[in-house]
Amino acid sequence: MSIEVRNLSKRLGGKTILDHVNLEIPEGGLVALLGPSGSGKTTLLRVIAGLETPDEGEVLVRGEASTAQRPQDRNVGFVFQHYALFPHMSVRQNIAFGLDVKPRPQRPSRDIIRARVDELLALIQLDSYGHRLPAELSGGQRQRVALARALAVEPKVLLLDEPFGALDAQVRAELRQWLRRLHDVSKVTTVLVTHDQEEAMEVADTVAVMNKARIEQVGHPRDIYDHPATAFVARFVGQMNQLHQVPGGTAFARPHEMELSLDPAAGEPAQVVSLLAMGPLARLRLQEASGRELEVQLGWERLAQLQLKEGSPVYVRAGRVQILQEEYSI
Amino acid sequence: MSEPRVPALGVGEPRWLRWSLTALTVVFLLVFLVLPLVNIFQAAFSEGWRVFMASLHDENAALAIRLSVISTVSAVLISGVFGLAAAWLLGRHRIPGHGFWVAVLDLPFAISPVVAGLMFVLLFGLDGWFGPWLDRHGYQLIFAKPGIVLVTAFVTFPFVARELLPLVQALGPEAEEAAKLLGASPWQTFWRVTLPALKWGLLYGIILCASRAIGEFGAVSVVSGHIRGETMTLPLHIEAVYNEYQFGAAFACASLLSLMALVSLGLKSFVGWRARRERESA
Repeated sequence: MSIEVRNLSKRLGGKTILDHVNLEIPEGGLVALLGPSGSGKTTLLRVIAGLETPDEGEVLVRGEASTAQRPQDRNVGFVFQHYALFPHMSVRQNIAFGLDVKPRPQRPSRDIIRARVDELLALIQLDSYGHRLPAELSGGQRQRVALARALAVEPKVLLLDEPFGALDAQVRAELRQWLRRLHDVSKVTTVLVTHDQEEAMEVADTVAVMNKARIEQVGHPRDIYDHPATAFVARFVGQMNQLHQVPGGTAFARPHEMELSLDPAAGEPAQVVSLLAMGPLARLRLQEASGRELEVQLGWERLAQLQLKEGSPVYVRAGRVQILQEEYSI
Repeated sequence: MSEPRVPALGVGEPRWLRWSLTALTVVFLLVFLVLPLVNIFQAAFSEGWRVFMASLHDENAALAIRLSVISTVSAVLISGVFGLAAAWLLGRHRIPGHGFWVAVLDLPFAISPVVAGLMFVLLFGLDGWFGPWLDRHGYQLIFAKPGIVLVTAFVTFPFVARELLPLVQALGPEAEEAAKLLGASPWQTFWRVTLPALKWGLLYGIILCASRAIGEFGAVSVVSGHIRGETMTLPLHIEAVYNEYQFGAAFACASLLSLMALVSLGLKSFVGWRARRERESA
């Protein structure tokens, strides 16, 4: 189900939370809304769900305005950061809830509901946990139950609000891949809110980077990384060296785009401050004569050639420089 | 239900201190709380089982018991429904003057029950604001049963609301939002999600409310008018027969009231324990 967000604005207590936001989410796509906290990404998600009403603009689902629809009629699946499972209901009852509350004419029979819950329990690999209470599950298991509960009603759209934010790193990485596989199979249009750029880059096929109530850039993860549209995106997504100011902007270069040499003609003089060699890549931190620090990534072969150690003198230049505009605050 | 876990009396304290503190507490509790209670029951039966039963079966006593039960049940219903509504409103929404309204919840606790009774007389009495209008339409609140129900509900209102407010806040809006997004109507959301999460707290508040309502004296005394067999609740009846030197009857009724208090104390402990267990497992 394609979603189109048109000119959406929302203010709360004198603060602009969404500022004329436009976004198109293609049918079957998996879009990540990426941004620091307070950038408006969760509010945008809640407006799409119908949990918040915008002051201006509209949300179209497959070309139809959904702004006037009540949340319970929108048929969206929503997953909260803190699971929001019903604590007094078993896992099975939680998953079946959306089917149980359907009005009688649309409600599937008990047998069909049971079969559907079994299917979802298998999908989230919690087959034998159906009778447990949410309190008896780990965080990762709870979030899988929350996902199954959202999927039970076969939503047109799946909205995930920092779904892995409360979990530890390893569980988060596992669930991330699991979510991606799930999406590849189910093809439900999905919007994922996250402040974790790695998560956004790994899971989504489109990333929308938000900052200060606006979307600064929408694109394929690779494009966002290689060609950030604004200085904010450059700094927020991946590591970036800030080289110098030029008229109308700042010059940036990624750590892997830095070139090192022992030839004084090949760059600016600098000194290796720290060096971490792990696997095929080495991460170096350099300090230039001006005191400015630079991050550099280097293949281990090149590192061996240069024979660098902590404290070694070296000459550095940027292989590719991008000039990006700083935002102008009004 | 907010009784904290009491740690074992400081292991590091000297033995004599532990023992004397314990002894002091036990003696105090015995003399101040247990002894008077036992005494009530003893006095109730001092004139024999027959007098005891007769005092309770006396027509006026039976009517007083009936009115007490009616006003307690009504007060529980009123403060249950409105307490739940108030807790939900104040716990879930930021309304203008939020802090003021939360403070207002406690008003009935802060005001002396006698004053509470007088407030209602001023509002609904024949010389009061609404009294003449009610009188013209054939309703009498003051010196009648509805007035008794009204002041009892007023005095006990905070129990349910106060008990539920922090629970509503702790529950947060997310479970309700999740239910809504799964297609549940507001009604379904309330019965299936909100109420089950609050049920032990609600029950606890109701028990506190009931035990206070059944024993309420001051406010009821002001609006009752003390009409025998009409507007006498059990506590008023006890005072009346006591003043007539019918000590056996007074203590018989008093022991009945004490028994109700003990039962509600037991229920309260049980519900508090269940609620705590539920919260810890959540």
